[in-house]
Amino acid sequence: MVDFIQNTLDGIFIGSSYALLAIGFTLIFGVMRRLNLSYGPSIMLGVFAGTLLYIQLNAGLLVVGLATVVGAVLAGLYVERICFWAVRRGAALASMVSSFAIWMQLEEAVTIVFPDRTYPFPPLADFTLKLGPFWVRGEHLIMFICASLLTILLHLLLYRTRFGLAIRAVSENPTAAKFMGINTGLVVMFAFALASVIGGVAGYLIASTDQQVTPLFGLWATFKGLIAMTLGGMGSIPGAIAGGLLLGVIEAQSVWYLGTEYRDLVAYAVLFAFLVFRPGGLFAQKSAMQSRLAARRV
Amino acid sequence: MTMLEVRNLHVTYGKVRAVRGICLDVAEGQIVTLIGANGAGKSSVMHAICGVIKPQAGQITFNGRDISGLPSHRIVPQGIAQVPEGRMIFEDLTIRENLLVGGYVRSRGTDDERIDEVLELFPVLRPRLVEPAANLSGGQQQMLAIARGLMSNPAFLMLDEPSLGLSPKAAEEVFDLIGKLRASGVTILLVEQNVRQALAIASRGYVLESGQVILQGGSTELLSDERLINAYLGIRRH
Repeated sequence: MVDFIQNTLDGIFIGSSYALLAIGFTLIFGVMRRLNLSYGPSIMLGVFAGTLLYIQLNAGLLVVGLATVVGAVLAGLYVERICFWAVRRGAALASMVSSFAIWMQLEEAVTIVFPDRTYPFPPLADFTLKLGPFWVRGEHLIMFICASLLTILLHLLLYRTRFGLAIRAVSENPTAAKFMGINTGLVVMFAFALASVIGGVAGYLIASTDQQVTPLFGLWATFKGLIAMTLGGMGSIPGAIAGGLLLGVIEAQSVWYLGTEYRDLVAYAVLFAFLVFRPGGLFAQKSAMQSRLAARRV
Repeated sequence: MTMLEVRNLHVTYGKVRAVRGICLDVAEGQIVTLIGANGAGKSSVMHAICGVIKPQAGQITFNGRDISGLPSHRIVPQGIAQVPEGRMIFEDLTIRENLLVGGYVRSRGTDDERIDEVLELFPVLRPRLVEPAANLSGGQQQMLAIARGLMSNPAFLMLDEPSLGLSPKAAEEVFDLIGKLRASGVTILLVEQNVRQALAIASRGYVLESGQVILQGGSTELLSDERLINAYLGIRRH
């Protein structure tokens, strides 16, 4: 039982970073109704910007963190311009395919500049807390606290500010938002930047926990974020949080009871089960159903 | 004085030419109505005026300023608002938030006062401000859609099929409201499938067919026009 609780705790801590990735995915999906496969790779670019400053200049934690976030935002805006702004509305598949192409491009670019397999990333903390029979790693605790704070800030932004209201309006009905005189293009760009800030922080927390980065980080981040978002329910922020935590716990349990090699296998099996039995995810989107109802009502 | 002037407007969707050289004028304080079958181009004209779609050619002048081809976020702040067909209210947002989105282009800080002013006309919404808009009935949603359109304090309001899908009583309320709005000085462009009621309240009308104006004139004139009677008022059917 102690093991099970310890695994659950570890899973929740790790899952908080998955939740951030899923929130980023869901924000973009919310305003665009399109999938951005390049989300993970744009975070990877940010992480490498951080590691570059660390290797070359031996920069401190704060500078590395800032560089990671700024790099992720710049890469995110680049993706937005190329894959979403330039590809006209309605061509969702074209956007997804071009985001895949940009993913490959970003990965290639990083591999050319950083030809080795792995690079070091500065650790955030090196302590372990003992709470009764349970152990908590310092990085995990910091990860969890940062993720929680960021989620609260995002909530305040979305529900307490004018611009947050505009994001929610565009997410629900971009045409109606346009009728209200909202500059939807600007809102989408801002939402991308916001998702990249969240992704950048997540990337920083994850890389400093692993203390190393590889160009495959983009693939990894896209997978974790997509799976967590799908488990929770696409386009729902509470869903993204729940999906991230659930994925973290599932992974931690399967590592303990089945072995590391089964971690991803179990995660995919659960994803498959969700897609078959509960395709809307934990927080199935009400709004999709509502707009269908509304369409019928007219 | 002419408030809105549309000259030789063309709108196309891909290969479909929805609007083909339409001219129309709306004088300040008037209600003008667009009449026509589905697909005649009424909504397209409105969408081009408020900048939700970009016209292919033609000129739109509002209060003497050329607004043709501007995006909606540059047109709405000039005092043009549209209540779109199908209401398009934000069902996930609360009623208050819907109104705030409607007033998005206004300068900050005076939202609550404006909500207060607008709700004078919509007393049913007042006690329900914090409820999600999805809770409202069809008629109330239409009221909310109009209230939201008024939040930006427009001088020129376009209403696209405001009585569509409403009960006769709710439709009656919508028409009463349109009368009140005109009395308060708002200029209105109205698209309505209830042609008789629309002409009763409007001072002028334009009849559209396949993207062109085929008939125009004062309301009384149009109400007695043989062609209009045949086609839209359903007294005699072909």
